[in-house]
Amino acid sequence: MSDLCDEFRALCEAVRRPLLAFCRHAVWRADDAEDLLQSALLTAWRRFGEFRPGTNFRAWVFRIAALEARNVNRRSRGAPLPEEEPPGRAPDVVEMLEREWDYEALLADPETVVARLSGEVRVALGTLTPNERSVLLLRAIGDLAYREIGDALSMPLGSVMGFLSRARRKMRERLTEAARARGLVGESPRGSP
Amino acid sequence: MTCPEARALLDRLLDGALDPVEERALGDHLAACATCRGRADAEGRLEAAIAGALSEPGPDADAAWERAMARLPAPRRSRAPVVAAAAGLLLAGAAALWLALPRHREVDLAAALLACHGDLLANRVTLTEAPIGEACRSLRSRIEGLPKLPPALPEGFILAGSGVCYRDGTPIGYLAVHRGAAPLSVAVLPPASRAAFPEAWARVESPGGLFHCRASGLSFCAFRADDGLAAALGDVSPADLEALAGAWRR
Repeated sequence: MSDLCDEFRALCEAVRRPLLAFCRHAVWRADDAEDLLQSALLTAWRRFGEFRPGTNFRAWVFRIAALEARNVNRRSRGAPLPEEEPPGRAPDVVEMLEREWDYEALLADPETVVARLSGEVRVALGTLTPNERSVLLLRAIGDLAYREIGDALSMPLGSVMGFLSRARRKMRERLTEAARARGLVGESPRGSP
Repeated sequence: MTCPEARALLDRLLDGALDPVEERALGDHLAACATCRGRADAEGRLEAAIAGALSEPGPDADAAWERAMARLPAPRRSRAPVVAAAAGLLLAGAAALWLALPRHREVDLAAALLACHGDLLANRVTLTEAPIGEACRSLRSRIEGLPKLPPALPEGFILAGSGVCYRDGTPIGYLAVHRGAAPLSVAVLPPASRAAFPEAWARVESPGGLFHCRASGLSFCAFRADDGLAAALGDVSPADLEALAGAWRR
């Protein structure tokens, strides 16, 4: 095996687990995860000559994986994309208070609640728009900085921050709803069940 | 700082993305407000728990990894001097001069433009088709301090589209240009890009103000454009790129 191949494999090995997780979650159809992994690694290998030694390989390879995810999802004939939600009925004050109360109850022990809602985390992720999902995954799994995410997705910093903020808000709301539905939170400030 | 103002900054605090002024103000608030301090801690734990749940590679992931690695083709080149690839290039009369050029790895902007060019060839960029005067106005309205584009490209070069791309958070005025059938990528940068691309700036500020190198088998040329910087890359001769640069350097 050549030195170049050894170097590439060693760099990939260091990001193996997060890259596998990214490929698992970045596709809209679960069956496409392995296709994405193969496309991302193959493209990274073909373009390895462009990688500048000493720079951030993790950001470089996640950028390629994010671009390949777009291609794989475009080719896929899976479920329709989640779209921006139309403005619905604004929650009234009582609903807002209950949601905030439930959220604060979730925050009292977030590790336990999320551990019991692992399936719902994936469901919540599936409700994000493509940009929200990409930005969240690159931040949460790829551990990329805002600038690196913007670079990966050809997106200005302001958009990165906007998508990430919306993605986090939606994830928190969906997990709070799921926690309430599962009875993990739900004591309202008014004392009703 | 009020509690709602502090809470609006908590996500960016978790991401290490606050500027020093915000960080100091938020730090002062958290030091004085136990409620917001508790909220910051709890939201940090929640985000870590969500990231942990998303970071599970899933069943059979290791087998998929091994299959993907096993399918990578054998290496075609190494970081050592490229003897085999060079042999094909020796057909051209100017090849000896071309091969003497430094490698793009030494120049930051060449690597960035190469990535843009890859996106262009893979049809991953969205560009606006407009005459060069309109492209100039549009790009200069979006990137502060961007040098003007020339009123026209040299004969034989056709502007296919323009847009703004970002590399390391730095906006780059990007032009897709055709030279016959060969697509070229052209980057135009304002003086403020000096911090992002120090190597390219150092090269073009040397005598001559024009710098050539090879980048993954393509020609790359960087040059001064007014008080900014421009660069071009493509599967054409260095002389072609120099002709294109001439439009800025008149």
